[in-house]
Amino acid sequence: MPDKATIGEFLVGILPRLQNDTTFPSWPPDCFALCLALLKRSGAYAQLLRDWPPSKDRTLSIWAARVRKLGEKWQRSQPKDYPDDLEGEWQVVCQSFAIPLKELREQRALCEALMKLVAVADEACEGVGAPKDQAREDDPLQDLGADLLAEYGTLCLEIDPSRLRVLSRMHTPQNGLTERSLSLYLSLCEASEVTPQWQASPFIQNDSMNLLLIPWPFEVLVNQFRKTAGATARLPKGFGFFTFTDDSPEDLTERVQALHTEAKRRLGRIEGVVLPELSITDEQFRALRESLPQDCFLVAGVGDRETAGHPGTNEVRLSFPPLPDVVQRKHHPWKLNESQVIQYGLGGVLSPYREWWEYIDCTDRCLNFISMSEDLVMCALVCEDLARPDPVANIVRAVGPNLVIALLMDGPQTKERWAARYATVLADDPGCSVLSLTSLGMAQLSRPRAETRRSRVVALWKDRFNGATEIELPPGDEAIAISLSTRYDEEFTADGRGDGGNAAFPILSGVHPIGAPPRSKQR
Amino acid sequence: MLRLTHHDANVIAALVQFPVSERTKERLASLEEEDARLVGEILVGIRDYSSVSPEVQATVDRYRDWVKNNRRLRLNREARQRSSRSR
Repeated sequence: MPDKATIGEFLVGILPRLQNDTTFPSWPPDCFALCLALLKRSGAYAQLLRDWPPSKDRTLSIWAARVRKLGEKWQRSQPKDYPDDLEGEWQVVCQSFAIPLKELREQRALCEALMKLVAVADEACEGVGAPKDQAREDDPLQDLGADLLAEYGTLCLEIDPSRLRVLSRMHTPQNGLTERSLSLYLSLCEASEVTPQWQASPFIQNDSMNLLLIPWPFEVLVNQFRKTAGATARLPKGFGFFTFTDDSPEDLTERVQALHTEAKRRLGRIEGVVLPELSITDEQFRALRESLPQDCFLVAGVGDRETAGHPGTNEVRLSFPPLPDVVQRKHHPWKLNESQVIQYGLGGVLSPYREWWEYIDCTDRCLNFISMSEDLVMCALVCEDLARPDPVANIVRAVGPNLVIALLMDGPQTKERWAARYATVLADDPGCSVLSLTSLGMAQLSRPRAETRRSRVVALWKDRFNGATEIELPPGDEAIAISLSTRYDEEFTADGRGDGGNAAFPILSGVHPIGAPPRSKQR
Repeated sequence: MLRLTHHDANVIAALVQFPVSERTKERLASLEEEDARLVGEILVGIRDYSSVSPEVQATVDRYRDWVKNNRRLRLNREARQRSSRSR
């Protein structure tokens, strides 16, 4: 019967034991997930916040201080206990099981109870999943939380990840009003085909970080795009598959080593090297990893051509020694339409009158978060994955990683183009800093009809505070070293709690073109 | 520096971040690779640093530096929080 679903049915669907056992979910992320999912489904938080804070708290600062204190108490009472002060709120929830979901927003006392449980659970989890320093006393919440996050990609203990996940959070949106506006430290993620993976890397974060961007390859040829005859036969007329391949990949080791050495000479240290989408092969990646210092991370787009009817691969590899290298496949294939075929001058190999899908394997979708410090969680996206809202964008928006690196095989990274638009969306909500990087070869292959050609703008930076910054590779240079400094600002939840000024934003604080090493050969 | 397995990297991160507890022994026993076990044992203080290879030492150094760095970042966070909340 439509419209008859009850609060109890909804909660039992998330945590089946509530059918017979309504004891308090004493693990804060479980309580957070149950209560926030209910507020989200009913939209009751919007109604609740019209008249806020609860009358007994009088002011937002009293509410925030009380909730923070309870959160600390809950943190100290872990692993199996919880503050008695919350028992009353949980009883209100349990007594409402028979109420239809659609009536929830009219139940003021219930909404206040849910909001309080969400807020206290959130405060209890401050710093869960972030790297620690052993200075605190025995802290089961942090300890077990780190294990759960690394092993199962969720902080929940009782709630199965196929129903809901809870992850750490780095940013709270400061615009709009959604359920994401209600927490500082935890994020609620709907069950999805994407598996989030959380890895803590022993990264040494200085006050600034220098990255070496290498927009390789410096030349892309039209004949590297090919139609894949066998697979195309399966598609209706008007569609086809294409593959991108490099038949004679160059040994990049010497060139990258020289660029790294020069960048390090000029900036003092280089923490990471970044290469664009489909810029190197597996073999090149391994050789590069071997040649770079172990304290330098490597984020690179790695590809392999289709073979005998099997789709090719297009993935980002994240290498943060001593962690094992992490592979994340691109989630969406690129579709070349008429205007793009013409823009990249591919008409000689791909008809502009068909739509061409990139022939790659898009299965086993995962999203990797690298937790580098308490102030820096990073994730990487490949091209289309920055633009498509699902299945990955919801998780990115929920977590709000401090730094998103988008590896592209795209035209120049000018402010007017699509990557800048999507970077701006993420910078605005939840507040990520976004770096996009394409290859010089693709930027030069691009000849849009309407735009002025600016084929050496290979990267773009966007953060919450500043407009998009185009990063151009001057003629004769082969790489760009950028410096990122961390700016701190206070973020607030919609219920009025602040993080104490600890929201961290990497900000672009230096751009240095790096010249061609003397002995490297131009491709 | 060593390259650890996913499991060993998670276990070592936990060993170095959290105080010695009942779970420490369990964690050490779950390490898959011999070199990772050596890293873990040095980090919890039951093996001598000088008795292992330079690669293992480099990995231990990295995790120790990480913890020091995390401490610095935590103190900064706490200071920012105090200053913000005292206003």
